[in-house]
Amino acid sequence: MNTSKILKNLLAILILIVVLFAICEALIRVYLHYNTVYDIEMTRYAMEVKEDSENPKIGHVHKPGSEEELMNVKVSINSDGLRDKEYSTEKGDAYRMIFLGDSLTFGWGVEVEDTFQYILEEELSKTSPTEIINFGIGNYNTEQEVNLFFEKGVKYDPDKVVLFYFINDAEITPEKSGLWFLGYSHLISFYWSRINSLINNIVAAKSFKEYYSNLYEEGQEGWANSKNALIELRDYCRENGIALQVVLLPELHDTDNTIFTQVYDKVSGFLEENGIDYMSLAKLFKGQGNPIELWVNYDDAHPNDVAHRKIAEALVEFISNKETD
Amino acid sequence: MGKFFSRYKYYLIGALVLFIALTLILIVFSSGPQRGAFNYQIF
Repeated sequence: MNTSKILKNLLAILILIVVLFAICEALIRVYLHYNTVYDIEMTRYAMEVKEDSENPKIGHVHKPGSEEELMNVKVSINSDGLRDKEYSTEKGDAYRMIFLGDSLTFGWGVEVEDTFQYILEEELSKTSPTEIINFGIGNYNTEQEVNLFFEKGVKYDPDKVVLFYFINDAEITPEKSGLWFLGYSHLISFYWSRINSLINNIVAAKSFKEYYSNLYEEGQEGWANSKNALIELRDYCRENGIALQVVLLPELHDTDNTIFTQVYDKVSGFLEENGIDYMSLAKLFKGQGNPIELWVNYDDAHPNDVAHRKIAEALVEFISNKETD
Repeated sequence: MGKFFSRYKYYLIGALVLFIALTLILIVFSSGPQRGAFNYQIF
């Protein structure tokens, strides 16, 4: 076989691969048009709604003014990168709060009107004017939440800051993968996601528990960063007459709080030792027969509208306390 | 171009059938409630 024939064959193989990839990509996109897959929606969120932050302690922020439909729910980001309406930095008569948190506070998978932030704002405003600004951003840990507050939240001059803690907040701040561009291919994202899911179906029961528990072992960088950030936020709030509260959000696989009891105890213990007012909702859904009824989707354990409403109802009294410590 | 595809059409059809079969198998066996930790950004 001469060289020109070999090159011709190689070129034919290359063209076939490209054509095949294009057809497969198109087929997967048709499938995804009719089926919502959590990992794909999260990848779209990362690609379309998030952008890099110049601050390495924040990592990423929302693109101001972006709009996207994610998990079949409209997501609109305001001019300051928040999933909320526009707020003036000039404070009026209303008692102003800032809610810091991750995708649970952001309201992943639920309409704005169904988020616990919105419900609480409505409820508290019945007795006195209240503004609650939602600083929730998906994939944030405590360090990112606190640094976002220092960078963007301080200018709103809040009367109170409430940090919503979820057990994955002790993860270290993620670095952008060198393969981020692969997220543009739904084919590659879909296959990656399904293979990962397949592995989880086989080995997850053990790894899931270990993964979260390991985050809180002594010496873990992420947990140390979380603790430092909480102390930093507490000190800033004390110095500036801002009330600070922390809410521990429930894990919705473990509604009876039997798997992650030690993790919640560890976080509660730290908050208590450091004089930070907190409320744990770890057992809010105790006795819930089927936890999946509280999820956004079968493959997405974020709280749905029912869970958000229950969280809001459980918090009304705690959040309405206006005393600073 | 037409000649090219008619020459390789069986490879193309075979690969597509394989892809569809693999995808269906993967969808069936990977379905189920979310079991792992939240995994927000896959790349």
